[in-house]
Parts: sequence; structure tokens; C-alpha cells
Amino acid sequence: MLQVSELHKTYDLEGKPVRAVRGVSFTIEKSQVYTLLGPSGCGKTTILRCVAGLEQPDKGEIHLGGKLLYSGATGESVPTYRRDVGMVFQSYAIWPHMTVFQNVAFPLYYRVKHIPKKEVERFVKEALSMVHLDGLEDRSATLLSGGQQQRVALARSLVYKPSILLLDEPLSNLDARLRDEMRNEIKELVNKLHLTILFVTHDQVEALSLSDRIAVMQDGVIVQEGSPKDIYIYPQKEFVGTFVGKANRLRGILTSKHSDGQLWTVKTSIGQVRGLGSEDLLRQGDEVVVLVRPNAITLHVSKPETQANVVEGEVKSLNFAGAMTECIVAKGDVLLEIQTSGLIDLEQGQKVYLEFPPDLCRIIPTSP
Amino acid sequence: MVKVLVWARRNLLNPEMPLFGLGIIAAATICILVAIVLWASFMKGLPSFGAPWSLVNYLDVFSASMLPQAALNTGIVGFGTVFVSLSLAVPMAWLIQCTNMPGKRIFLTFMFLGILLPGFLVIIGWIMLASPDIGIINAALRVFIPVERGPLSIYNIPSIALLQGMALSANAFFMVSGAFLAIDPSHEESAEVSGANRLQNLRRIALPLIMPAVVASAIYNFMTAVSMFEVAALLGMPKGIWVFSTLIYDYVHGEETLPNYGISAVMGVLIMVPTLFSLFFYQRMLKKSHRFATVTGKGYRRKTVDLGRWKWVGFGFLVFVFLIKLVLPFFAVLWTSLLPRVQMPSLEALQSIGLAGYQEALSLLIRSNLVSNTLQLMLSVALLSVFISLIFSWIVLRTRLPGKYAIDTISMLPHAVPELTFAFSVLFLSILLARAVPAFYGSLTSIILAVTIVRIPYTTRTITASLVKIHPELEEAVEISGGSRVTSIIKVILPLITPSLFYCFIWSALHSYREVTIPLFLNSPRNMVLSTAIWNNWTSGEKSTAAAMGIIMVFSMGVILSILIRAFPQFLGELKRR
Repeated sequence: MLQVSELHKTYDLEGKPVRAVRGVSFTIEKSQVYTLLGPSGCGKTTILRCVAGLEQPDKGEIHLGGKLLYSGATGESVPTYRRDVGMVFQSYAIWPHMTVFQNVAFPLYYRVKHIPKKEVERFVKEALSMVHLDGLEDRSATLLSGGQQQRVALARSLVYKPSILLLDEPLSNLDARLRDEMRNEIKELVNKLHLTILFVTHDQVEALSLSDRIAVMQDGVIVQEGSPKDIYIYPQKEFVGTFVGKANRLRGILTSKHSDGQLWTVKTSIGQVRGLGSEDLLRQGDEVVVLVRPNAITLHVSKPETQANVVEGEVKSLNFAGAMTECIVAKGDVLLEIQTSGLIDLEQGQKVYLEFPPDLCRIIPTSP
Repeated sequence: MVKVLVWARRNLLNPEMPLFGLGIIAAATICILVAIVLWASFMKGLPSFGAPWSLVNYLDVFSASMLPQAALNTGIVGFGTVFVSLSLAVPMAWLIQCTNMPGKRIFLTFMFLGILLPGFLVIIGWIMLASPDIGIINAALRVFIPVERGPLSIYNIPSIALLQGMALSANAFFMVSGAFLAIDPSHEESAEVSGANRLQNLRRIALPLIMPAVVASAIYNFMTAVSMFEVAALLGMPKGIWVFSTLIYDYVHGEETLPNYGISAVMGVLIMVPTLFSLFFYQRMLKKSHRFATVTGKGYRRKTVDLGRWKWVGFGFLVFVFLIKLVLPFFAVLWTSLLPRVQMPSLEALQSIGLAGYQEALSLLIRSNLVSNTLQLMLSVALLSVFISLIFSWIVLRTRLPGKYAIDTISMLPHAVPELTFAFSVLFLSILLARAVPAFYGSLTSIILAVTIVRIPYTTRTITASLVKIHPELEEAVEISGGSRVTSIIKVILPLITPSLFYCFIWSALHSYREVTIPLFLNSPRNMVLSTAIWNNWTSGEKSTAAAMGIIMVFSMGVILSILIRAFPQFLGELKRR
């Protein structure tokens, strides 16, 4: 549906060039939710705005549904208002001097054009009921709550059925409860309408729960692309592992490859750890880091039977959070973060045994 | 070749191209007019494209015998004006904005109403009050003091500074008021908690915080004062007291000699150089005063200073100021308009009161195209200045046009270049173009051009301030919804900043109606407007007719303004916000 290839964009920030996007390529299939995830300033919003035509890239190509939107080589660029895209802005950009109806009907007049009044009314009604705002047509836009504005913005971008929907941090201005609610609603809409979406966010929870594919970005490039599970369980870079969720990092030297397939052994400060690694990236003797999610570690109160990947430690601190308990366990100088069931009784200073399931320990070469 | 075509398709067929074009043309016009003054100063003889460059004008000016005196006069008038305007404006601003003095609202309304009484009418009024021969105050004083003429005189340098200072005190008042209002009350409260009494608080906290605004308005008023024309023309020229601005006028329009454009241009440059230089400091001060301004959350109320019995002293001060600024001169003009010849107030004079002056004034208004010219001037200047400023602000804030920062600077340029010089360069241009475009010389269009340019810095700043508050995503949402950038201007920007556009429109219209310097400089029988007609009648001795026209002018404008305020109440809100 959407193909972005070798996109480059340099900004001029007070006389200094900032290379916001440095050669980004990706493809979004029809009915796919594709997320650009990264910290602020990583270039994700710039890419989205280039797709919308609100920014001019320096180099690269953008195609939508087989149609060329931008080509750096020929300099061709379709203006925003002729691109078949819908967009929900971070600020929602609801026009305050118009009613809800006028806001939602606007694109019908300007994009679809020559459309009978009856039809306009029908489309707007449909769009508003999709976002559960039935009956609010005549409400002035200034009298809407944050969540309602968000819904109007969604309705306005869906009403003309664009081939792709661009979402720019749409949930970041809402409070925590509303955010969960809207996230579920967007998910519902996606499932019902089979929308194709390019989604930009810095929130890993949003990204993991809404996306079909995620591209994690850092400093203007995509560092890893994959399904949410891939990204979470099999990060290929230290940055990906730590940005998408919490991770314990154990630094060490790769000593040997285990006989049974993909497992490797790493010598770390807490002892030998076995984990998964990719053949292409690792050499014996490399400096590596082992990433283990806090919820991947199994905590034993008494010494377990398996000897491999088990470490003895002492509970340093406990943070009871109802459904789970976050605890910090010390092994020598190393502090490890573990999430365990909230139902286990633990005490500070207690001796515990941590088991690292080898297939959930990820060995990654240390970034240069 | 293909690349050129693609570039052309992408850029020239862009719907926003005409706006860029207009913006660039407007900016170029401003630059050209400034450049013309410089060029003219190096050109010998009458304006023509082929004239050789030479320094002869500069040599002439610097060897002229009256130059040192004129320079000294200009300097004294400049500093005197700043002194008078600040010593009126700062206490007024403090009394009205920060204290419990009675009648604050009425005084503030009077401050705004001042715009209805054009500066030259105030001077005419003061001539009627304090001229050594016909001054009403002088006549009253002579009852007690046995002198032939006087004892007061108005035809001297201190009077020029005093009247200019009164005229410019409004500017300073609004700037300093803004600074007082922007002080975060917590600064003063914490000083109070720290043990400072009211006076210490004022001296140690409030004054230092408003200082940048005071200095900025001092620089601004100095820039205006050294190039101000009308006061020095009415009070100085008749007695041979010259300042630069009146010399510029005299070398072009003087009755005794042939026009010497080169010398006028050199004088223009002599004023322009220091004012351009001061603009730099002015903008630095302005930035500094904005830095002190705190953006406070909603719903805080300034604590007012309780003056106790002293509040009546403050009240008296303000009554006095408005008496000499507006009321006395207004009644002097009214008195003059009702009498067939100049007379002191007396029983005998009361019997000869009549409407002859008004009859003459009305017949002049009906016979000539004065009214239509004035209305055309007001509407064109208001429309053009708002339109051009909107384009400037939009280009600077919302586009990536290369060189947009140059446009930003150029839009502020007329602020630093005296309006007299713009009048001069438009006149010069119209003579240069006399063969190609004969209709331009002496046309109303030439006045409209010069007055519009002079209005642009203020309107651009006002419109920019309101455009900044509109989130750019509101416009981007229009583009996403299928509208072009022009659509986003029409459908989103215009409706959202209507109050500020409307305010600028009215303000520009009012300023062009009271403007006399530029119309006078470009005056011809074809382009006479109310202000120049009054001026010409006054200087040719038709005092009663001139005064009657002045009164008609003030009242008609007052009626129009009050109707507008009734019809568009949001204007009043915008006015209060400035």
C-alpha cells in the first residue's frame, strides 16, 4: 500500500543542519497497522509528515497504492491536498470556529467535492457513530472534552475513507484512563474497518498493543523492524531491548557456542549465562550484552533442581503493586530487576534463586 | 530541461504563489522607497534617471550656515519631547493601572478618544490659547499683567517639545501600561513579605521591571520626535525656527526658492541614519522587556496600591493632563469655529457667535471631492495595510520561502525610517515617473502608497501576534482534508483572527484620517483630503473655516467610530487587550 524508500530529510535548526531522517525504507501492506516507535527527535514524526506532504524530503521516494507521491530524483511531489491520506494530529486540530458537523463534513466538500447535501449528512452521521459521538453534530467544537475532540478528529479523517490513515501520537494528550479507552476503541475500529495505518508514537505499550508491525527508530534510522512479539522478545540491538520495555543488561564475553543449536554461553559478572543469539552477528570472544526481561526471570525461594542459568542472590528491595511484585535482587555488585507474582511472600534480605530461561535471554553484540 | 519544467509546475502553479508574489512586491516597494532617498541625496539637480552621482548635496548641506542651528534645534526638540512624554506617561500609566485613583476607566477611555483629535488640531487649539497676539490665555493674563503682547508665547523650541511630548505621551503610556500589567504580582508580594513598604516596592521592584519598556518607548519617541513635522511646521516655520523635518519640507515646497530635492534628501538621510541605528537598540530593549513579562495563568487579579488621600492628587494630575492635552485645545478650536473672526471670549464676542465658518466649511466639503478623497484614503489604507501585513505575517510564520526573514525585517523598516522620508521618496518617484505614468504625480494613490507603508509595521506586529497563537496543525488539517493552503487561510486563519484584523483595519483607517504630514508633502489640488484642507485654510488665514472643518471632522469620526463599536462589540474587546 505505502512504500517509502531511502527517505532523507535534513532540517536547518538555527543555522545548524539536523539530519532528521537518514535513509529510511519500509513498506506497509493493505490493512496493516505499521508503527514507527522511538524517542522524541528520532525522526518518526518527520517521516509521517513527509508521507502527508506537509514536509518536503530531500531524497527518496514515496508511493501510495502504486501512485508516486514524491520522488527526489525528478523533484515531483503531489501536494498534500491531492494525496489520498487521512491524518489525526497530535493536537487534534479541531477547528474551534466550526461545529462538530462542519468539522467532519469539511473534507467531504474539499476532497470528494460535488457531493449532494443528503449524502454529506449521511456520511458525517456514519463517521460520528463510528466514534460513538452520535447526536453531537451541532455542538460547537470549543465545547468538546479532550476525548471528544480526539473522536471528532478520527471521524474527520475517516469520513472520506482515505487509503491510509496517519496517526501522530494521537493518545499522548489524553489522561491515562482515557488513553486506554481510546486505544481499545482504535483497535476495534481497525479490526472492523480493516484500516491501513501509519502510527507514530513513543509509547511502547501503544505500539505493542496496536501494531501489526513495528519499526523502532533511533537517530533518523530504523534500527529494527518486526512484529510486536519479535521486537519485544528478540531485540537485535541493545537500544531496542531497553527502549521497548524494561530489560536487565548483563555484560560479558562470548565464550562458546553450545552444542544444541543456537544457544551460546557468555561469561558475565554473575557467572556463566546461556542464551539465544544470531549466528551472523556473533563471534567467539566478542564483547556482548545479555538482555533479560524482568518478567522472563523465574524466582525460586528454594534451590531449584536445574543447575544451568540459575543464580543465587539477595532481595534488596520490594515494590508490591497488586498484580505483581517488582523486586530488585543483588548478586554481588549487580542489581537485577524481576517482576514476579504478587502472591509470593518475600522479605527484604531473603536469599532467592533466579532462573534465566535460556530461550528468553537474548545475546546481542555490544553496540560500537 | 525536465527539471526546470517540474520545478515550474511545482512552484509556479502552486496556489500560494500569488501570495508570495504580492508579499515580495510589497517588500521590494518598501526597500526601493528607502533606497530612493539615498540615491536622491547623491543626485544633482532635478529628479531624472540620467543624473550623475555627486557629493555636491552633502557639501552644500554641511557648508550651509543654518545647519548647526537646525541640528541643535532638532536635538533639543528630540530630547525635550522624550522628557515631556515620559514624565506624563509613566505616572499616568502607574496611576491608571496600579492604583485606586478614582475615574481610572474614564481616563483610559479618554486616552483612546485622543485618537479622534488629530495632532494638528491640538496645535491649532494651542495657538488659539497661547499665541502672543491672539491667545485667549494671554488675553486673560493681560488683565493682571500690563504687557502689550504675551506674556506667554508658543512660537519657540520649548513649546514645540512640549506639544510633541503631549502628542507622543499616548504611545509611551500604552507601552509602559503593558509593562506594568505584565508584572507578576507575586514579585511585589514577595517583596512585601520581605518587608518592603509601598514606596520601596515601587522603587526596587516595579520600576526596575518596567525600565526596559520605559527605555524602549523613550527610544521610539525620540525616533518619532526628530522627524515629526506638524508641530515644528505650525510653531517654528512662521518665526524662522528650523528643524530638519521642516527644512526637508521647505527645500521641496518652499515658496521663495526653487525646489532642491538633493538637499532635502541629504536631510532625510541625516535623520534616517540615527533612527535606523536606534531601531537596533529599540528592538533589543523590546526583547528585554518581553523577557521580564511573565505569562501568568488565568484568574489572577492585580492588587491595587491604596493611595489614601493622595489619590486626589493623582486625580488632579490626570485632569490637568487631559485638560491641556485634549479639552482646552478642543474648546479653543470650537470657539474659533463659531466666530467670524478671531476674538477673545467676552459678552460682545458671544453676540457675534454664528455658524458662518460651518457654512463656508460645508460648502467647501460639498463643492470639492474632499469627503470622497478622505474616505477613499481611509478605506484603501486600511484594506491594503491589513492585507499586506497578513501576507507578511503568514509568509514569516507559516512558509519556508527562502529569505522570509528579510521580509520580517523589511516589514519593520518603516518603523525606523521617518514617515517624512517616505513622503519624500514617493514624491521623488512620482516626478521620476512623470513621463511614464503622469497620473501618479499629485494623485491620491501616491498618498495611499506612502501612508500604507507607514502603517505596515504596527499592523504586521499586531497580526503576527495573533497568528502566532493559532496552532499550525489547524491549517495542516485543512490540507489533509483536501483544501489548499489558500483554503486554509480563508477557512481557518481569517475567521480565527477576525477581531485582530478588524482592530487593525479601524486603527489604520483612523490613523490615515488624522495623518497630515504625508498628504501635505504630496499635496495637489486633485488629492486634497480633510486634513490638508484644514491645514491650508489655517495657514492661509481662514481660521474660522479651518476650525469648523476640524470640528466637523472630529464629530463625524466620533459618530462613525461609535457606530462601529456598537455594531462590532468584539472591537472594544480587542482595543482593551492592546
